[in-house]
Amino acid sequence: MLDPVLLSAISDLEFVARVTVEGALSGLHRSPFHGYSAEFSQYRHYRVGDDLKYVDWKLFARTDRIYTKQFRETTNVRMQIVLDASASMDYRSDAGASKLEYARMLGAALTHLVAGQGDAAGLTVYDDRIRSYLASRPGRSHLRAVLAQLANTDAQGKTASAAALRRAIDLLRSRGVLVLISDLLEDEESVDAELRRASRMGHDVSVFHVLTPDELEWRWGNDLELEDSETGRRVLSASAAGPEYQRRVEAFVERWRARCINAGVEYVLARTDAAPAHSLREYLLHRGHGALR
Amino acid sequence: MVWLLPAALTGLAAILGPLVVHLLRRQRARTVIIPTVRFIPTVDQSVVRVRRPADLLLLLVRMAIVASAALALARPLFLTDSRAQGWASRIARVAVVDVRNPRVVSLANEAAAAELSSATFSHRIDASQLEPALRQGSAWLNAAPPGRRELVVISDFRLGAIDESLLRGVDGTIGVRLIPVRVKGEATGEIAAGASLAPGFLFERRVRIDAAHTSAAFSRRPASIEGLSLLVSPEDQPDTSTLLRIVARAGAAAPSSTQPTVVRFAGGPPLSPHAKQTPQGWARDAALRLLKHADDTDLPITADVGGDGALLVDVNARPGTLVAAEALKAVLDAGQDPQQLSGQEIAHIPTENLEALGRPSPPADTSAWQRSDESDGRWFWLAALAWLGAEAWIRRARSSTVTVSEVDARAA
Repeated sequence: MLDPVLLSAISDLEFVARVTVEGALSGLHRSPFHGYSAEFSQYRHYRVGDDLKYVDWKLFARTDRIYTKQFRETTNVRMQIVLDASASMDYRSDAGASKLEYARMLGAALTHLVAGQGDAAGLTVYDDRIRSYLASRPGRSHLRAVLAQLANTDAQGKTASAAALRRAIDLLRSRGVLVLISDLLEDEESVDAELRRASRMGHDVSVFHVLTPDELEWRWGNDLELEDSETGRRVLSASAAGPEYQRRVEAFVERWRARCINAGVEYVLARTDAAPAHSLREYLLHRGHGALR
Repeated sequence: MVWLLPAALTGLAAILGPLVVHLLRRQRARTVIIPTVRFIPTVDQSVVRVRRPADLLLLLVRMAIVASAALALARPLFLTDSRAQGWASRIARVAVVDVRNPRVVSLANEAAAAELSSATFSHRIDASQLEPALRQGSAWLNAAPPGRRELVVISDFRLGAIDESLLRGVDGTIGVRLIPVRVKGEATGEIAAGASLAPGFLFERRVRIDAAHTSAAFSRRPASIEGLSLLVSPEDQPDTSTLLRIVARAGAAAPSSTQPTVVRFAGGPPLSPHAKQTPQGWARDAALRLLKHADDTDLPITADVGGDGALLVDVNARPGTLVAAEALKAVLDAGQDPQQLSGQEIAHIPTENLEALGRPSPPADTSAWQRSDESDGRWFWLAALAWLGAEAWIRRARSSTVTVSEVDARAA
């Protein structure tokens, strides 16, 4: 899997997306490109790891060979990626990709993945307001539009995920896949409420919680004034505050993990020092063998 | 080493400036922008803090900059032997050019140009009166940079043009040279060598004209002329001697000692119209000449001959005025034939007298360094620049930007 720093240096987001997706799918026994649907498509030879429920036992009895059934897609997945582009996403660890760059790569990979299987993908970019909205549509031209929008997104402003989520959910209309990519550094209750609401409405909701190593581990010594990128509030760093900081951050991550589990939301902690493909792979594995429903 | 502008040394107090700034200036902790500070516990610690002792070097360098600049402004001067030799080879010269006689002005200009061009520092003063010009020249030389100093007076030096009293006002450390310039062919009757020109005395000129030749003799006399009675009011007495001196310098002939002349200075209401009497003898001729001269020149003079044969002249002017001097000169000359007098009008001070009046310029006085036109302040400016460069270098080395690597290093 390619290093996030290397990927962030590549301007061709489509290429990055393809590489990420291929890296994520490499070694997975089940392809996410084939959804399960009622309409039979073809047979293929059984491979170790294939779900046994798709094995055609009758054919095995006749031919003495094991085949698994594949189905042509009939469902049309509508994915809406909700991307946090607030100022806090601009932060990068030393010699690493910024959170926004990492989120862009994840968003591009997901879009590429969905578009590759003929489904519809859309994009909502927000900070304290919705900065741009692309409805979920299938097709390569739309894929390029989404990738272009991702490439042109920069980080600024404060964060208001709840309002953006509400708007994206309302615009999704029918049930679909909702993916929030954010550092979630805001009012947790309101975002949690919107995620629960989306889940209750039957949407398939996922959260990529993008954080840098600097945020997850205390790295600040003394003699530094730390300024909040969104509020401008300043505090002085002190080594003595390290343990308490560590405890608070871990509680923050665990709180979000628990909130998501309780709300039936897929939660992936995406560290910017890990390959995007790794985060994507983790996501696909958690979703049940890589299938996008 | 001496200081040409010691008052500027008070600027050394400015070195306390950087010290005070370093003591009082508080530096904000360097700022790093991070996504959020919500997880960072508040610690009881001031955001600002006093500079650490690591800046002591910077402080010292900044104090050195200020000190060097203050010392440079005080215009330091190193009194070395080579500098003293340099001063000894220089000369500051003032040329006072007497422009009263237009016929010698061009010659005086040439002489002045030659004198000024050979001087290191020079100044020219055109004078219609020598006394203030000499004062002015002395003042200029007293302010001139160190070096030999010389006052050169260029004039035709007519009789009475200069004397010891005038030169007494010139500083003794200033050399004096009197350069006579004279037009060829001009009558150059001279008074006898050794005659004094001290004030309070008159030079009586006795002119002898006979069939064979014309000669003139001069003698020094107190400020009273035999045969001449001046009648002035008591309050005008102090002006009388001045009047006589002015008239004597103008080259007027003395009256006859045998036939007295009485001059009455009125200084009050106008005198009566010209007397119409017909005087007798010498006094008569003189009175007629005076009356004619008064008519020609509008001098307020009336003349008459007394019963004792004395020439009586009334001058309607105060003794201290130029009109009075002019009138008195007319009276003194009235007994002489004007045509014969004209040849005696030009009399010059003998060259040997002029040489005696002059004095060589003494060697340059190194104690006059206060007037130096040069200083060694440039070395201190260079030092200040060097310190400034060092300060910039130290500051750049101290204030590099904070990177996460540095933060990691600090944390480690």
